[in-house]
Amino acid sequence: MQSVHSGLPSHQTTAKSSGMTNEIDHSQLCQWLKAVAVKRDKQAFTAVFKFFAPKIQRIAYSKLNSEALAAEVVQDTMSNVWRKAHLFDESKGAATTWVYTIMRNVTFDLLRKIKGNKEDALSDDIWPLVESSSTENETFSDHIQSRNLQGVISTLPANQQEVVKGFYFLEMSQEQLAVHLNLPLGTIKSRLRLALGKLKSKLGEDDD
Amino acid sequence: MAMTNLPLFPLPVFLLPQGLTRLRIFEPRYLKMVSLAMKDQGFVIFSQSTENMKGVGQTGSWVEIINFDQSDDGLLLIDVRCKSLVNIITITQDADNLHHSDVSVKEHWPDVTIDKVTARLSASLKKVFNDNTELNTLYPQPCFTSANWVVARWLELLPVELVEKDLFFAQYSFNEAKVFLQNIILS
Repeated sequence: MQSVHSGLPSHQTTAKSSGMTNEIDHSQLCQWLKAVAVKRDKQAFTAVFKFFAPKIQRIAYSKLNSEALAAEVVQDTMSNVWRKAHLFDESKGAATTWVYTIMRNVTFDLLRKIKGNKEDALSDDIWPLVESSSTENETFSDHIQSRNLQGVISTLPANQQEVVKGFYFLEMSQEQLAVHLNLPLGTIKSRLRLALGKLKSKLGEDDD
Repeated sequence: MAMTNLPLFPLPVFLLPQGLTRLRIFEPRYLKMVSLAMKDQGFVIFSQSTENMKGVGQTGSWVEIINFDQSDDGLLLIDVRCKSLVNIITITQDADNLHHSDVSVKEHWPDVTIDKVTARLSASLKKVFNDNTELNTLYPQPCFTSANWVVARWLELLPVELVEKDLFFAQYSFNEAKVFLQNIILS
């Protein structure tokens, strides 16, 4: 299996710097999860994905010692995050705790499935969290959506299509805009950058 | 200035007058908000912080509920339409943790006649709608002949960060918005 995070849309999102620094912007993460939950916001999900995927990959790899299995943990964890975002309750704990709890459960499920006996080798205390979420056992049916969403979805590997299936967030991705205008993604990115630059210099003084 | 007290729905989404969006509602306090909104006068979608009065002075989108449904996973879906922008004057929180705000209506762009640029933007937007079932379903009566409507919908759809989109809440930002879209879509 190939590395999972390479397949998702690579467009810029609001994930400006949270993944790059040691400081975790908890309220930003909460906002993103909320946007995923309420709006099926694909860009917010991409931001959450970008934040967590490398961390989960790293942690899972260090526990499982397999790139492929670690990738699977990332995949399953993030698809659960997408489906269950509305169960996240920030008054009960940090977004990171919630996501890592899902990761931990996913890992145990995976191990149970493929190597039943290995499970015993992993005890709770090697995972960076404590409580397990009782809501984890709820099941959710995916929302079947139209096939007409342009852009990235049809090009994603099957598992990732599962993740994004069901969004009805209407903001376009940069990829969708590129497809719509029949231009390379790079052109779209630089147009957006230039247009924003011009706008800001123009509005600089009389910004409302 | 006339003030109204409305529930606040904190959500990072950019919505201009006549813009529509679909929301999933599940938290009890927001279910309460929906029932209040159905009885009274809608609610305000607000993308800024509601904590510590930080959002006071910012702009929100006053919406009314125009349709509702249930999602396959049993959640309440509502379609809302922005009827105007509002200035957030106070923010309070009730016993159910729902925020409420005194708001005053904020004027937005005056009506603008469609010109060459906005006509091209309109044609391009039409194509987006044709390619996208959700948008078509959400907007049974699109106004492709209104320059304001076309520019506003394009801004909502563009992959640009909220903090930048918020610049177009300003009352006299129509021309900047038009040029901005022209640079991205028509250059």
